[in-house]
Amino acid sequence: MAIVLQDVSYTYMANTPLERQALSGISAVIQEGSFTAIAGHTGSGKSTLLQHLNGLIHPTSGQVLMDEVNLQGKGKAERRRAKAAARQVGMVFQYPEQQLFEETVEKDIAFGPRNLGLSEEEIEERVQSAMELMHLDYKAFKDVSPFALSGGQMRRVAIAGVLALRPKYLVLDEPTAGLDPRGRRKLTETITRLHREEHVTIIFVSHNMDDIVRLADRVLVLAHGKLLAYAPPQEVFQDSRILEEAGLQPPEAFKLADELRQAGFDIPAHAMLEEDIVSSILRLYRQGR
Amino acid sequence: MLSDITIGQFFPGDTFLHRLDPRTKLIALIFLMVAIFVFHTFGVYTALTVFTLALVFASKVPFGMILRSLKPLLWILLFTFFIHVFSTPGESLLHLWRFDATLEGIERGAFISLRLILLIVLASLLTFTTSPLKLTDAMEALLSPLKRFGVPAHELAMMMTIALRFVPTLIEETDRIMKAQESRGADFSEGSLMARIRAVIPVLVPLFLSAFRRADDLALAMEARCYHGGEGRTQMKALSFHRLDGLAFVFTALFLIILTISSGQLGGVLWG
Amino acid sequence: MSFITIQNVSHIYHAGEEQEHRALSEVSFSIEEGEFIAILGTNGSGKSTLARHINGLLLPSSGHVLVDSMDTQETENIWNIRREVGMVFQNPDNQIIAAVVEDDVAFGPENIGMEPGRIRKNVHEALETVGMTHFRSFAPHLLSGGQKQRVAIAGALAMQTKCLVLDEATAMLDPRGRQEVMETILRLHRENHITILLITHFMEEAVEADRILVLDKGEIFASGTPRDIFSRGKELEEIGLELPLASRVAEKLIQQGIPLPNTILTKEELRAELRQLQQAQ
Repeated sequence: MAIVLQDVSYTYMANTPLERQALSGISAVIQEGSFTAIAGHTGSGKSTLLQHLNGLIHPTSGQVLMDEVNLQGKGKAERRRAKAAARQVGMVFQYPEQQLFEETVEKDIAFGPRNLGLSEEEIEERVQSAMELMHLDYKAFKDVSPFALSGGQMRRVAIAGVLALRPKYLVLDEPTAGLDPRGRRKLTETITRLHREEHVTIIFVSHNMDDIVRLADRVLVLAHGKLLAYAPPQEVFQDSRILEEAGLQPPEAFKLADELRQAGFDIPAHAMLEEDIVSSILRLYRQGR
Repeated sequence: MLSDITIGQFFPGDTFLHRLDPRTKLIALIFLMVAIFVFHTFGVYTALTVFTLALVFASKVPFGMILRSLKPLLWILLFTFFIHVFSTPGESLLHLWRFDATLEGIERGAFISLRLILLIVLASLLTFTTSPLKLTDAMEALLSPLKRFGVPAHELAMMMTIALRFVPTLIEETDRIMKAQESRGADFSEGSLMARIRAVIPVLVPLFLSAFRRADDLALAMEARCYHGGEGRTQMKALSFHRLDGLAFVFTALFLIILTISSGQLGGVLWG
Repeated sequence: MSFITIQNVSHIYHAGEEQEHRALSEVSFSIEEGEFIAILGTNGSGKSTLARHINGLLLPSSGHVLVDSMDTQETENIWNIRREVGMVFQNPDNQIIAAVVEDDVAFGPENIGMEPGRIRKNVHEALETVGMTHFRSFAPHLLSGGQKQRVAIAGALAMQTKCLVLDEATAMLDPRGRQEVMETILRLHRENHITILLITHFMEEAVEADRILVLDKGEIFASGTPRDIFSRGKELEEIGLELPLASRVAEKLIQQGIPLPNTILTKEELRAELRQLQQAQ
């Protein structure tokens, strides 16, 4: 099972003086169970691409298949099927805490399940488990107003609100933006655990190439609405032409490794994590002695 | 949908319409609007339409943009048209249930619709060719004689400036929040009236909260930049009338006088 | 007398109410003219509260803040202080007031009643300094985050500010925007000798400062040169901060018994130290 993008193009405000092509001819397969990163600088078409993944917008040409169902259904029956398929994809927008609106944390997280028309017991069960997944103590937080929480906690509540829909695929647009180092670390750990233990397929946008190397098994690089690369991050980031064309900086750890290589240290090209560099240096040091 | 709203958008350029003092444009607009309302003859409407089209052409604003500014009001236009078609007494052309479409009605409906279209096009021409800041400066200048009667001219103008500045931001924000709630299963397009009203709450609450947050931030930023009301304030681009403005005034005045005389409605204009 | 002096400043929000909260307690330090100081701390450490004291947006519950020998608590000083201390906030969208870039840059000078001819000159120069001249007649919503923040910086420069306080001004930007803003403020510091107070979550940005101030729970936790501060890795991690990458790698190597100094800050320094070590072997 997978999300399949077939030659997807999208044009904003078609046939007006403000017409702008945001995506052109994107084809890619995002396998269930994968951890996929999307990289590209602001204006590269990332947000537009994300919105195709749960049918918020439909391609101007081409199609998006979700577990073999076209997300743009024609006719009533097909549309119903498309809608059900799109529900498999949970969408966490940038700064998701800004979508909170209910009086209590519990009610806000219940908003999604309630829209699905589930029973009260099922809703409560889902709210509880979603909060657990996001490390929010159910008893302590359920009756608290979401607006009385800290920024990091609000974000957890917002993500729990999406998880309560029990999506197979979770799409996150810069999930750690604006958090402090501790908040970033904690949220990244939570997302990794969702993938590893709950087997949720993760698709995330990040400007942090080090995070992409650490977390993702594949990275999809966009520039000017075109697909530049779709491969494991270690492979993509070794190719300086791709980064340059996409206007991206290589991971910090890669830059450090490069600096050391230039001084004659034998550090392998795929070393793009802090710990890879540490172990390479240790190996060299011990050999030297 | 939301992106269709073009009223209040500035379309930068360097035509004579762009260069006119905003006060000139505002005053001329007011007079033209009055003219549109008081005159009823076919000749005057033709002249006003030609005049408006000439201005559109001179502004170099793409015709598509002008049409888009009419789009949000399409339903109101159609509604007004058909109301008049069916409610004006006269020779019946078509009988529908208890109503008659009349020739007089069509004529009247067309006139009223044209009147509305001219109003909208002229008003959007003003906003297309005038930067919002200049527009509010003009408003402030024209209102300032009323300050002595307690009208807060500066504050009103500042509110306008900020409202205009945040229109695009809030439109984007609404779009984003709607999509976020849609992704959580909210449905804005189906269900009973009550269900739809309820569906709006998850959008309105975050939108209001965000607007308040923005207002707070903005107030702080303005304070940090020494804003303390209109007292002792100067302006980088102080408004000043030029020859062009004089010409525009004379031309508009002549145009309106000719309209008045040629319409033979002189009495009507003077006596209401 | 220092340019900015902060004397025993405490700040309590909602004093006497149920949600009373002490955001700053007994903070004292001073800033010299032309210095570049970075302030680090997690969310809720009191960074923003402190920043807002410097231009009198907030007044101390106790203690004093002096800017250029003017006390922020004396009302008649406030506009002069705000003129000398410009501020750039976190959200690029919420600090641009006018609908055209150059009009926005003129907003501050207009407020202080500057003469129109001089405003035009200052606006022109300020836009030139931040490299935004080309965008002077753009609508703000057409600019990128980094460009908006540069416009905000120009707005302060046009008032001929002596000091810029950047309150997490890079937090909402993408890497390119962050780089743009950082390059701009480094240039302002070096070439125009503007005093910089940079509040940030990004350790790499703090490395550039002359001095770092670490805040934790409303108190000064540490203060010193970047080298001093980042040699205290364990302590920083305990209060929720992290080290720059090169320092982190050096620290892990030290833990594994490699004899490196604990003062490494940059990639270049790490390279040089390792090279030395290699030659000694």
